[in-house]
Amino acid sequence: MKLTIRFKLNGKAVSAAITPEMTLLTVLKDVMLVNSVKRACVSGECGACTVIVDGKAMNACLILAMTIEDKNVETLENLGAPDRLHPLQKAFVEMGASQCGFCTPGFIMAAKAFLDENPDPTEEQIRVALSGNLCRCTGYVKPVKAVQQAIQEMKDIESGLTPVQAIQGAARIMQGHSAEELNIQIH
Amino acid sequence: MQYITYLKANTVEDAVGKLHGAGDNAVILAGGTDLLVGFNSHSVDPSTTIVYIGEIETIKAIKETEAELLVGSMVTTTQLAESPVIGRYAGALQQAAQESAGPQVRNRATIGGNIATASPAGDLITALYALDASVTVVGTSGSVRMKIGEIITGVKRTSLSKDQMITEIIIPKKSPGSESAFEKIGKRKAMTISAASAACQVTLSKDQKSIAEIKVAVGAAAPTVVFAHGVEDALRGRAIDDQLVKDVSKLAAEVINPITDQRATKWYRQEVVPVLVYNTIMKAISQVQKAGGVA
Ligand SMILES: Cc1cc2nc3c(=O)[nH]c(=O)nc-3n(C[C@H](O)[C@H](O)[C@H](O)COP(=O)(O)OP(=O)(O)OC[C@H]3O[C@@H](n4cnc5c(N)ncnc54)[C@H](O)[C@@H]3O)c2cc1C
Ligand code: FES
Ligand code: FES
Repeated sequence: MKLTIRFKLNGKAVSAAITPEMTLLTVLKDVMLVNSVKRACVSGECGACTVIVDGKAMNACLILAMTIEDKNVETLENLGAPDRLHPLQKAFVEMGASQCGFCTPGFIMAAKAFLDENPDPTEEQIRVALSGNLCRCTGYVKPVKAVQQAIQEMKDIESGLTPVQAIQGAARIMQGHSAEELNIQIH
Repeated sequence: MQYITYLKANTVEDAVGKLHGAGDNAVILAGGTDLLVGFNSHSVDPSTTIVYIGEIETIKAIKETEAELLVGSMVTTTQLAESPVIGRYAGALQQAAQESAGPQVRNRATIGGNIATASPAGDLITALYALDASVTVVGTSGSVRMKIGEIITGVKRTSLSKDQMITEIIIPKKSPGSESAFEKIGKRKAMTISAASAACQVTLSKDQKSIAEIKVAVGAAAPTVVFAHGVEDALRGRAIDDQLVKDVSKLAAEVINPITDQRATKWYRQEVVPVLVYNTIMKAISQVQKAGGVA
């Protein structure tokens, strides 16, 4: 018995023919062929399947797809493309916060949902926001730094610095120089 | 191939009707963070009828009356972690919510699901014992209210029948001079199921020099959450004394019945529970004193 569900995927109204026991992870990955969403632990432990549902980060592996009817689902595909990366994507690349890359979409979606609600967090808050995601390659220092760099770039874009200037400044702050020393204004 | 049946309930009455109609095959789905782990690890019996309660608007809010907090069963762990009202009147529950799982799970997990799962390591449950919470259960035969300790009967066992659902959790507002606290320990800081936990609610005397009333609950160290009545009795009416609290917290080891599992050994639980009990009591006391302006 196939059922049809309708929901919004990355801003577009979509429908999918599914069976009632499918998880959102199965529907996104195997029915909708969304590449960024990863299947790993299927028990809520690793965060590799993290998507944003109605503004909140959630594990797609723990959501029965039927419950997603009429909801807004956002995946990494909504953030950027190789030629115009989202500040979070760019920062993960530049900080070396992504190695094998398997965990990266999940980290970035967890960070995105968090920054949408808290644009100016402390380092401790960032750590808590990423605590539902596991990475077996980079450890947890670089992802936190990448989020900090992305925040800096988003602020700089808002304040009118060119993205290149902004990134250079942010990267130097990460390397231990203070903003005053570099004559950069942080808003 | 036969598939499970999925039904969405629009109201509590609708849910109860659908549960009744599905009889023994009925399973309530709330946030799914316990249920889906099970579905993913072994195939689901195709005769299962899922009744989804996540779209019932009346059970998603935290309300307050003069004397009580009324928490809908679909309130998420994130809501509990962030609600100022929960912070003000039920500190132990807020701390337990903040220390549960990670953000993705907290955004979906519900208080009703935590109770109905009845895991001895359920963090919200441990706090609810210390806060003297009650639960409203609605079924085809009507609505009943019972204490949290009456609904949980054993490891993953409750007194709920197949056509009953938890709709609301009732927490008495703490009196002035009273605070609650929660602490847990696990294998790592984030995303960890409790190896042991403790929660307490302490009311100080008017002069803030002695303990007028105290409730202490211990989690993950017996088949259900248990009250440490020995600790309560030894402290009720006594002057605040750090060493006394430390000494009598050891009595908590007598009421627990810990096992050795992948999260901790029996020995470790016996050793750590008194420490958690002591920490939560001292934390609650210092919060009352801070609020009352005493150093
Ligand atoms: C990675 C991970 C980490 C976790 N960490 C913690 C932790 O640190 N602390 C902790 O306490 N728990 C933890 N949990 C367990 C889980 O998140 C909680 O128990 C949660 O509160 C369950 O709620 P739910 O809405 O997701 O329940 P569901 O999975 O929807 O339901 C669980 C059970 O309760 C029944 N049920 C649900 N709602 C009702 C209702 N209103 N009335 C009657 N029956 C109902 C269901 O039929 C089912 O049997 C964790 C889970 C995961 C996957
Ligand atoms: S695959 Fe969903 S959390 Fe690991
Ligand atoms: S980069 Fe390989 S798991 Fe994180």
